[in-house]
Amino acid sequence: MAYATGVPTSPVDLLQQLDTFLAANGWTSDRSAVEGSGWTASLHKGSTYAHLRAIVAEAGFATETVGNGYALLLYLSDNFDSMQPWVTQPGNAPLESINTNRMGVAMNLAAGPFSNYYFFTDGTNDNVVVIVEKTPGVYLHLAWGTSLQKAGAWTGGMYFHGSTSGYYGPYQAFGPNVPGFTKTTDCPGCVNDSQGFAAGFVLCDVDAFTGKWITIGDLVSGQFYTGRHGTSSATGTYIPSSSIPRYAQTTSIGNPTPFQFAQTSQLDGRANLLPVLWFTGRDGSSGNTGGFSLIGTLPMIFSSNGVGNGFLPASDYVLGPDTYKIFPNFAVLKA
Amino acid sequence: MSYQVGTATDYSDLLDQLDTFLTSQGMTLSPSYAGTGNGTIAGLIGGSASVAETFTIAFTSATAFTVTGSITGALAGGTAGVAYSTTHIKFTITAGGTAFIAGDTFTVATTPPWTSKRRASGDQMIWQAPGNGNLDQILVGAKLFSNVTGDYYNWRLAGYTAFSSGLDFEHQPGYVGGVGQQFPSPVFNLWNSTIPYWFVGNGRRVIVVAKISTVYVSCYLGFIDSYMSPGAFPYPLAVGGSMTWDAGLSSGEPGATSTSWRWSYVGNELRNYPESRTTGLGNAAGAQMRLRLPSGTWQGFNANNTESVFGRIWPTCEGHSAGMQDWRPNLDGGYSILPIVLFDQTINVYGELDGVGCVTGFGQSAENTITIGSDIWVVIQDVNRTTKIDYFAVKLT
Repeated sequence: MAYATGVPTSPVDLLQQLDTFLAANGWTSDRSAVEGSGWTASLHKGSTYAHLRAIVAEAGFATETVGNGYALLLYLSDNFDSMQPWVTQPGNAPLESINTNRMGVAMNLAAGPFSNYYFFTDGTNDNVVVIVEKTPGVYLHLAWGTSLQKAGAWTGGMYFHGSTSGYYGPYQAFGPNVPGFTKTTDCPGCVNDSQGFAAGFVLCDVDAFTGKWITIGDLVSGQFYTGRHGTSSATGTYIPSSSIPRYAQTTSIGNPTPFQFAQTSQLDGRANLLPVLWFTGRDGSSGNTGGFSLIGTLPMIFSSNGVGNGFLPASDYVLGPDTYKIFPNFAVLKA
Repeated sequence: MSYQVGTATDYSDLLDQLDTFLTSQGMTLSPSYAGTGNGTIAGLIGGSASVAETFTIAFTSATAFTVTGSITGALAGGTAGVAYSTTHIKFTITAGGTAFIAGDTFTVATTPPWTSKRRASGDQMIWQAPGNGNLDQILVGAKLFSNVTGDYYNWRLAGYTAFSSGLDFEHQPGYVGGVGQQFPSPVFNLWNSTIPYWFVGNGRRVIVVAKISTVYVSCYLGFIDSYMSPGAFPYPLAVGGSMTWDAGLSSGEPGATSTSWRWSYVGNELRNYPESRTTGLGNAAGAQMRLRLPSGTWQGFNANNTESVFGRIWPTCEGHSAGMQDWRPNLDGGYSILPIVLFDQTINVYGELDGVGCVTGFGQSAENTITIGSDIWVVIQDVNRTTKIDYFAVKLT
C-alpha cells in the first residue's frame, strides 16, 4: 500500500510524477515520453495496461473535437505497442459501439500549477487512485485496477473511472460549480459525468456480450456507448433511469435528505463510508429491460459526505486498522 | 449465530419453544476457519453451561479434533462426521472433498444462555439477553394477544430498558409502546394452528420467522449492529414486528374483536419490519420497525424514501419508493445480500439489522437458501407479497 502527495506544476509534471510513483510501486513503465505538446505514459501490471496522456492545449480522444484542452486522460487495454501513439494502443480497449475509437475517462485540468496531488495504491498495488486538487477545494480523480471486488464469479474484472468522460475531459469553457470541472467531482463511479456521458468502464462478460467493456452510463446507443451499459449505487449530478438499490434518487440535500448524503451522523460525528456498487445490464430487448446484476464494488473508493460535516478536505480518517483520506463526496483508502 | 428450525403446535407453543431455545442453552457467533481441509461445521449452538468464551476446534488428523475453551479449558475430543455435544458447545463437522490435516482450526465464540425474567407459559415471557460478550442487559419480551371472535392469535412485542417484577408487561421501564401504549408496540401475527418456524439467536438479539398458512411473518428483538460508538449509542435496542397501526394511542388500533388483527389482513399495516409500512407515517407507532434512539425515544422507521419526520430503512425505502425491480441475481446465478440500514433526517445513521439483509426477488421464492462463503441465509417474503421488492434474507450461520 503506497501513498504520495506533492504539488504538480502542470499536466505533464503530474503524469511524470505519477509514472515515477507507479514504477516504484509494482507497475512497469512501458513508455513515458513526450507526445504532441503534452506527455504520454503507458504502464502495466500483469495483463492490465494503463494508457495515460497529459494533453496541453490539445485534443484528446479521437471523437473529441476540442483542440485546446488540458487534461489527464486514461483508458485500459491488455497490450502495448511502442510504435503506436497513445490513442491507438492495441489490445482489448473500450471501443465506441459504432466504430473502433477508444473510449476513456479524464481528469479535467488547466495549464497549472495545481494545488496538490495524492497518489494511492492498495496492498497489492493492483489498484491505483489519483486525486488532484486542481484549484483550492476542487478535487478531481482518476482510478483503475486489475479487478473490481467481484460479486459472484464472472470473466473479466479490469476497470477504470474518472471525474469526467474522456469526451468532456478537455473542455475548458464551463462556468462555476460544474462537478468535475469547476467544482469537486461527483462521487467516483457514479452513473455518467455531470455532462451525461459515461465516466466508468469495466471489462465483463455478460450473457452474449463477451470480451468487451461496459460503460457505467445511461446511454444505450451511439458513439459514447460500448454496446452494453451498467449502473451504479452512487448518484452524482445525473439521475439514472434504472431501478436498483441506489443511495440517492436526487442530488438535493433537502427534506428528506437522500441516504447517500446522510452518512455523517450528528450524534457522534462519524462518517460512514459507502461502497460504490457497480451493476451490469443483462441481455434484454433494449434499455433497462434485461435488468441489472451486481458485479462488484470499487476497490479503495467510497462515497462519503464527511467533508462539510465536520471533516476537512484531504484530512485523514481512522476507522479501526484502516486510514482513509476524505475528500468532498468520497473517501480513499490510504493505509 | 445459532438457529433452530421446527414446528410449533400454535402461537402459544411457539412462545414456549422460543423461551426454551433462548434460555436452555448458550448461543454461538459466526465461526471462522483456517486450514487446508474444506469440510464444514454446522449445528453450532451452546449448551446449558455456556459462558462468554472462544472455542478452538483443532484437528489432529483427518478426522480427530480437540476442543478447547478459552475459559472452560480442554473438553473431550471429537470426530468429524459425529455430532459433538457438551454442556458448553454443540456442533457437527462434516468432512469435505479435501481432507482436514493436523492444525486445521475452527474458532467460534459462545455466549451464555439468555435469562428468563418472567416466564408465564400461555401468557407472556420477558428475557434478558447477555450480549455477545456477556456485558449487556438487553430486555425484550412477548405477550400472547388473541381473540376468538376476531380469530387472531398474535404476540405483542416488547423492548425495555430495565425489568421490575412488580410491573406488568406494558409498564416495564422504557417499554417500546410508551406510557399507556402511547405508541402501541409492534405485533407478531400468528394463529392457533401448526406453525413451522425459524429461530435465529445470538447474545444480542433473536429473530423469529413463522409460516402461517402460505404467508411469512417475522419479528426481531434485540440490538442492531450500531454504526456509532458504544459511548454514543450504548443501548441500540430494536423491536421489529409484522403489524402496527398508525395510532397515537392504543385506542386508535382496531377493536379487540376485529379480524383486522389476523395474519390474513391485507394492507400496509401488515408488513414485516424490513419492509416497514412503506407509506407516510403519522406516528412512530405506524412503523413495524422501531429503534430506541440514544435520546431514549422509540423511533419508527419507514421503508419509504419520502419519509421526512420519522426514520427510514435503506434499501427497502428505495424498493418501495423508487423501485428495485431491475435488480437481478449475480452473473453466476447467485444472489448478493445488502445490509438493511436505519437512518433518519436528524441526520443520523444508527446501524444495520444484525443478520437480516435485503435480496432481490428476481427468480426468488420464500425458504430459498443462499450461500455466500461460509454464510447461509434463508429467504423470506414480506407476508403475502411476492414481487421483486418483497424479499429479505435472514442469516442462519
